Amino acid sequence: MPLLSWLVFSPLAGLLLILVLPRQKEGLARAVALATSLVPLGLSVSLLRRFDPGFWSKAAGNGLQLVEHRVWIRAFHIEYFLGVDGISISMVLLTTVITTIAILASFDVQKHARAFFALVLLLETGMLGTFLALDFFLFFVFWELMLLPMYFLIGLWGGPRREYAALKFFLYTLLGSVLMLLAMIALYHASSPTTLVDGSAAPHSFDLTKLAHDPALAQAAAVFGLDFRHTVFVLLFLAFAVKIPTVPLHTWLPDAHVEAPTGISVILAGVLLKMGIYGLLRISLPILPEATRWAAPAMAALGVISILYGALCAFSQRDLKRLVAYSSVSHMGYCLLGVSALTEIAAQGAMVQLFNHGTITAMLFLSVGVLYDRAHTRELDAFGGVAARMPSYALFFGICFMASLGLPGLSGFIGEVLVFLGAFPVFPALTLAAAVAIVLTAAYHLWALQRVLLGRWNQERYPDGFADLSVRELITLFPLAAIVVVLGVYPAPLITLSASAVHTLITRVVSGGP
Amino acid sequence: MSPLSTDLVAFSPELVLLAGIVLVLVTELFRARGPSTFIGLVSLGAAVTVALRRVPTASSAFAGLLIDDMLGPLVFALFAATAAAALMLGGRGAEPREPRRDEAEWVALVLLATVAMSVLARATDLLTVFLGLESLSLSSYLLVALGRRRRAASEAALKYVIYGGVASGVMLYGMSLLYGMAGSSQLAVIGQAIGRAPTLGLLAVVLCFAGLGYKVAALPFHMWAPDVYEGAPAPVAALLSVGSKAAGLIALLRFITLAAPSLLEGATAPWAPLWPLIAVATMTFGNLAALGQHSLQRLLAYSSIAQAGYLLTGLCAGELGANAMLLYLVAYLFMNLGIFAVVSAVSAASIGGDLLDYRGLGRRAPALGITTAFFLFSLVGLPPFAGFFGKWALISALLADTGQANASGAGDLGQLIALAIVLNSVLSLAYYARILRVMFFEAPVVDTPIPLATFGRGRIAVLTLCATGTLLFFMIAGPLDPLIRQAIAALFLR
Repeated sequence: MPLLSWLVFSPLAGLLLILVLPRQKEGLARAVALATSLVPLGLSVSLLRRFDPGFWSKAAGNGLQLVEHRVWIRAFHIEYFLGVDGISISMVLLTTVITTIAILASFDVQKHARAFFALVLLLETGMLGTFLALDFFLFFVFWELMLLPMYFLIGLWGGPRREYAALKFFLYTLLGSVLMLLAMIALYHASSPTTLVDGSAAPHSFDLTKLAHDPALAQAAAVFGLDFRHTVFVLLFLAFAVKIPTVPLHTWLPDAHVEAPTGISVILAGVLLKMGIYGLLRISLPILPEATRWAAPAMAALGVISILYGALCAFSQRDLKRLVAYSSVSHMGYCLLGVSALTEIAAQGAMVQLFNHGTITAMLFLSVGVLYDRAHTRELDAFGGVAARMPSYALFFGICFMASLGLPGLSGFIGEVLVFLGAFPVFPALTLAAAVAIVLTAAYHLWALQRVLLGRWNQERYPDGFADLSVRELITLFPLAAIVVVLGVYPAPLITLSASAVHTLITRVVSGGP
Repeated sequence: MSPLSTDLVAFSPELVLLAGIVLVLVTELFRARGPSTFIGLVSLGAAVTVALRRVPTASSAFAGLLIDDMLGPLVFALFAATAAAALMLGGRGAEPREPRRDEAEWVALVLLATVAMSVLARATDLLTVFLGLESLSLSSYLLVALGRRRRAASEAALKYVIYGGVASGVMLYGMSLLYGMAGSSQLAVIGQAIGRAPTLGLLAVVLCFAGLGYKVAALPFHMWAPDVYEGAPAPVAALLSVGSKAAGLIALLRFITLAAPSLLEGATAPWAPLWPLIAVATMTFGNLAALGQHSLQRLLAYSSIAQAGYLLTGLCAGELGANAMLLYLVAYLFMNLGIFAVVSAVSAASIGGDLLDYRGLGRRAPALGITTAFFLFSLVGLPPFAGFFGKWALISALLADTGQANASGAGDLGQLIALAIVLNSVLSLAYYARILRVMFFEAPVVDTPIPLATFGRGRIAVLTLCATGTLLFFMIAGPLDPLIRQAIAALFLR
């Protein structure tokens, strides 16, 4: 059975089912969506069981498993090429888990429920396809496919300034992706002749695995007087930097997060923000190792600036959701620093941080959503003493804030430590500067935690108090909390998944090659 | 020279249409409400069948006036599809409150315009270029003026005539220069003569561009488009924005390949930046001007100016560029006809043509809303829709020599144009998304659902076909590509 195709396209079956639901049965859409999202979740678990992390070292090949390789459009030399390796498997798991939880968290969506859940399922197909595609053209198609549903999800179900936020998100991401399109076409034309999987000859290639070993790219002539590889790298980096997001291309993120409904914020922060770093690891690093080494210091600097700037911005926010959004900017800066250090430990740290940040911010946004549903505000000053009124909520809120600030024993810690360990020998000054941010991060997290959970209950504004977590809210928060605690105490399984893939990738980038 | 019978066989698709025109008009003499639209559709279908089943002889017909090559039937199918869509959009009930009285005239004029497009696209002689251009213009003027009871339509028709007259006059002057240089009106002979006086030749070609650029709505001959598109009924605007534009582009392509091949050769010619400049200026102007529009048809006029800009970049990248331009034209056929079908459907539901009138339409008529989203995303150039493959092919052609050794200045020029295309796409999202925002994000004035039947069978058929083509273009593009390649290769044989 072509497992990966099923995985990618099974949400579409649910989408079709929802579309044929009669208007009166709108409520049924959520059940169909939830049931559908369990299919890719189950498939990704079976994928995990069939996945062999040591595959790379055993076979001399490229480490890809469960490969599906067919010709899609022969005339344009485009292939349908899916496969999974140590870098994508954790992202696939993250996507299926987060999507299911986001659907569950969106059960209270009343307005146009059919359209909402149909779009979420379309988004899931786009995300899974992006993580599994190994043909650049196919990757691009899935990458853009994520854009369309997201635009509508923010624009239709968002907060008061949703139209502005949706368009800003769309414009920023499109700007990034058209630059990626230029880079993709330039790489294609500079690549050597090849044969497609069915044996027919092609003058050039979109195949990411072939591009990664293509000596022709090193000989490609300069563009506008700049080295070809450097130009392409910059174009790709801009595309990915919008998604990461890196300062100064991050301004769409706080707006999108504040306006998006809870479930969509969860997907946005949990999965979509991972696309940028994933793109660097999947495309930029393996295909353009020389350019990566050339750009690494600048990328590291951007990463550290994001860490510090994100933390400082988070400090000054009065809106709880905006605070969490800026904390994401800061945390994704660690990932960028980890990738640009080009050491195995730092890159491993970035991979671990990618997965853990996904689960932690998903939890953060869920918690903020729980509070917002009751208080109808996210103003930090409106709260206080929540811990006494909502004890079980306070537990989860505490776990995710502590995990986010990097408390040892919770999953946010291990990624940051690995990044610092790996990056310090390469960029000592930058890493020290980033270390300052640890204090800032701890400070704004604790301050927010204190203002919400502790202190005096706002009796004038909320005389009736808040109900504690509902069963549904508990079901969304508990699995994430379990992941955060377990991976905090015992992160080895996560590291094992990607270890050999990261080793091979970093060795290749560091040891030269075009 | 071939005998007349061979020539007539080469001209048979157009002859079928001419017979259709006669039939429509004669039927109308005897029956006030004849089945004109039906006859029109049948004759279009018959003409396409004839065109596609014939094997082109790849030689001239009528003493070098027309060419009978692969490209002919290919673009003929394109024109006929546009005309058929216009007929289906504009059949009974185009003006919902009154039954159509001028159906026979309308059908006859659409068929005549189709013949004119085909002649223009097959012309290899100054005489036929002008003949095709003028008969296309004349039938278009009348089509625009058909809605003469509306003030805007009369104004549009008058503006169209005046601009058209000026453009034809300028073109004629250019043609007279070319004839003077070469002593022949054959484009191929002119092509040999033009090298002897390149400066005068360039001037003449630019003057001729006035006429063709006017059809394409390229800068600086675009001024008529917003007023005409806004004033004309939606089906006519659809015909002008797809059919006329395509005919103008194909004629331009033939004109350049035959009469001024050096214009296509890029960096070596002193006028190399001419086409890129026109193309980039056209797309940028169209997109910027569309940003501030409130009337949907006016907005779409500027959008189709911008699309003309993208299409013109196909002339900046040699044979690959011409291939890409043709592929983009097919994609454009689906998405642009589709969006005009939406406008036509909305007006059939007695809703105004202002952007404000579109508030909440996506919620009142979800199927219409979703198809609109398809067309608009496709016009932006987002995958997996048709427009993406078109833009991708254009950019790919422009970047084809990227990274190859000894890439001269021409390569860098191509990269600049490609950059202009993608940045313009981002710009265009701002106004295309505005339509979606109004349709989906804003609350409707009246919240009653609009049943599909309101739009009429013809419009639903066009919408369905265009939406399918836009969505599944990746399945068409593969088989289409070799046909396009073969047709274009013949133009570049010399």
